[in-house]
Amino acid sequence: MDGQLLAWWMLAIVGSLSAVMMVLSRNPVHSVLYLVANFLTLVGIYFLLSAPMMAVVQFVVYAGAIMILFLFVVMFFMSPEARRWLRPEIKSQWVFGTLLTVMLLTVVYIALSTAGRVADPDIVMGTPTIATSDRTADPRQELGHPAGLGTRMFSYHALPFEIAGLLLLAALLGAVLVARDERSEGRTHLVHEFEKAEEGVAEEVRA
Amino acid sequence: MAEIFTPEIVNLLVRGGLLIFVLLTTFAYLTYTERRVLSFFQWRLGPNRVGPLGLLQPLADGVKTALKQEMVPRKADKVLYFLAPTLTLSASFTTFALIPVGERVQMSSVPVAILFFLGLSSMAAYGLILAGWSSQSKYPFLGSLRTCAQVISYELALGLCLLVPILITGSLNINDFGNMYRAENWNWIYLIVLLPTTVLFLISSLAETGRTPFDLPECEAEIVAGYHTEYSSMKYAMFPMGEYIAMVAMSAMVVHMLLGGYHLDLGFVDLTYWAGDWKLGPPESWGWGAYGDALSLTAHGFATTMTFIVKLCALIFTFMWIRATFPRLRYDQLMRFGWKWLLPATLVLIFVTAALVGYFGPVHGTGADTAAQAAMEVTLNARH
Amino acid sequence: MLGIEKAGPLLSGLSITFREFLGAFGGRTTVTISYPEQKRQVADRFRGLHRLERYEAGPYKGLEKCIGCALCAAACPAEVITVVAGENTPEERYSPGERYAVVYDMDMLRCIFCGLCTEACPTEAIVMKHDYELADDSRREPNKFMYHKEDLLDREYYW
Repeated sequence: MDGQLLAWWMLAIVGSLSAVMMVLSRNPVHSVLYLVANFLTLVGIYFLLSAPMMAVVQFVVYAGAIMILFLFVVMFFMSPEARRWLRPEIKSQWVFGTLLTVMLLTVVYIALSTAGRVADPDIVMGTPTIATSDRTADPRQELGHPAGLGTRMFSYHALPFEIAGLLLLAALLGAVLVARDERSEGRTHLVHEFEKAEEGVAEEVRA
Repeated sequence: MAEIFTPEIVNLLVRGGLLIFVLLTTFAYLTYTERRVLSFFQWRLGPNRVGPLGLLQPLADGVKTALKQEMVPRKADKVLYFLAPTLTLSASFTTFALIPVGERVQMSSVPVAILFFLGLSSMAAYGLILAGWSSQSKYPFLGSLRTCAQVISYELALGLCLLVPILITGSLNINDFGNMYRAENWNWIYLIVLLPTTVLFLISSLAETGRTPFDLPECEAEIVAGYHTEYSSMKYAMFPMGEYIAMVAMSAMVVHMLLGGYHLDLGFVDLTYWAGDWKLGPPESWGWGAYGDALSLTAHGFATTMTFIVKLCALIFTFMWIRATFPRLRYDQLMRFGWKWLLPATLVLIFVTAALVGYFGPVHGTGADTAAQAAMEVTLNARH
Repeated sequence: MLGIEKAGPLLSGLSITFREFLGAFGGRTTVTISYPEQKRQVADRFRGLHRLERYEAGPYKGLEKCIGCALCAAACPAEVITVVAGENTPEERYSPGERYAVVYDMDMLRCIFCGLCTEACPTEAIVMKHDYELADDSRREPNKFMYHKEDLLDREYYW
């Protein structure tokens, strides 16, 4: 058994276990952390797949930034009230969960059984991917490399990329709109008052 | 099962152990240095009792900390409570594995090191956040929420600042940052953006490591000691340890970004070049094999490392200088500064840089191509 | 403009602290001192540990000022002082009057240094001096915080 395979097995086992534990864990903070662990194993798997850029993005963006946000939100809503709200188990969870799992497994099965037969869009574009070439003349053009990925994303797939960006922006604006309420208005008012008072003090000091 | 202790593995283990040892010593003496330097700023004497000039103070502190009674809150989330300091510390150590401290003196040369650097700094933040949460008590929890919000806000600026040298060099390899000043097509015009970027990076790294003007997570006037209120003994010590080492790592990044990395190149003469290539370390006749290889260094590597350390000290002094000068911010000031000033400023700098790079072309550091060659694997970058 | 001008005061702050830093290498006196070796001069009005006085001149030279009246003990709000008086005899004369203090104990763990004993004293026998290093390592027997007459009478002070 070579090192890579060993690493893969370890990552796969830890990853699957943490994914299961994420769902089963009663404590939301623990769930978040299991998800982080899962993402970290994904980082390792991406590295094994010779996709350092993907790995690092997974590491920085998901395991790092986004999960910290998750943690922040979860910790905020760990109040006794929220816990009471979380307590009752929805019976239909099991039904829907099983249904979705079966669907997902079907998709995975179909994908695996047809692998290699589907035309790679990038081959059509004329640039080989990791799957079709081990090492091209210029490693900077490979999909796993940041330069290759950047070129791909901002030239061939610029439009979908921008649309996704707009979508995220819309989501962000929506979140801001939802989060605004009367109380926060009051608070911003207070902050303004505070700033005014601060400036007043500053002027007095100057005078 | 293949042989586990291959020369590469031995090399990694020995150098990793060495790195950890060096970092721990650095931490110990940084606490002493910081106290002493601050005392100079404040007309005090500072610790001068243990040993000559108080130089054995870290030792005494270490013994004292280790012998302290260890208290764990009964309601603490035990696993996370123990995990949190470890996470902070190991993330900080790992950060240093990515940073080149001399010409070919580096634990591992990951091609996307900068991004890893950012990721690891947020991993360290996990430790701080979990420490506060797992203590299950009021003030640590508030401290961890503060850490959370602060890290999220300033990590953005931190990452965007790093984008400027990335744009200029077109590389994600930290080596190239220092090398860009020596590159054939280096243009001094880039200093227009590099200088302010470095200042902004320094500011956001202060926030990221929770140092003085931004040390609200452990603001003693408001929330006792913040996230580490419930920690004692060695577990407590691991937080300042991680914090100091993160500070050193940030300083190292600044050295690479602005101060030309580990080179002592004055343009007309490269001073470290004279050190030559002869080997420093245990001689072959001792028969240490791979261990000896791991411990040895070329004279040139040694000279560049020393250069780097001197530059690093200057930066660390700057951190202490800032601590001696500025009072702590209020929380709303912190947030307002981070989002309304720092972030837009870095974005503007990126646009300016992009324009400059578009006009003058990127600077290819001498290591850029080798970095690309190494793109697909985590290479062992020994002196070979 | 854009808040950059606010950096000016920050920079001048940095320059000020840096000047102070450099001053440390110019033989500047520090505000802190190496305490047990160096001691700071306390103010004249400082009132520290008590002392029982003797007459230093005049007809009663060498005799104790304390006459064992226990007014200090009565005045003491913290019940620090215990006085047991005895009669002077021509053979054994300690103080000018009829009586003297056979026992004069002060429990310094209770003392609040209010100075009422010194005010109550009719002969100014008990006074408060500049001694302030009162820490010790045992409150069991022998209680090192229990100052007896011989401790207070001819006490050597470091001022």
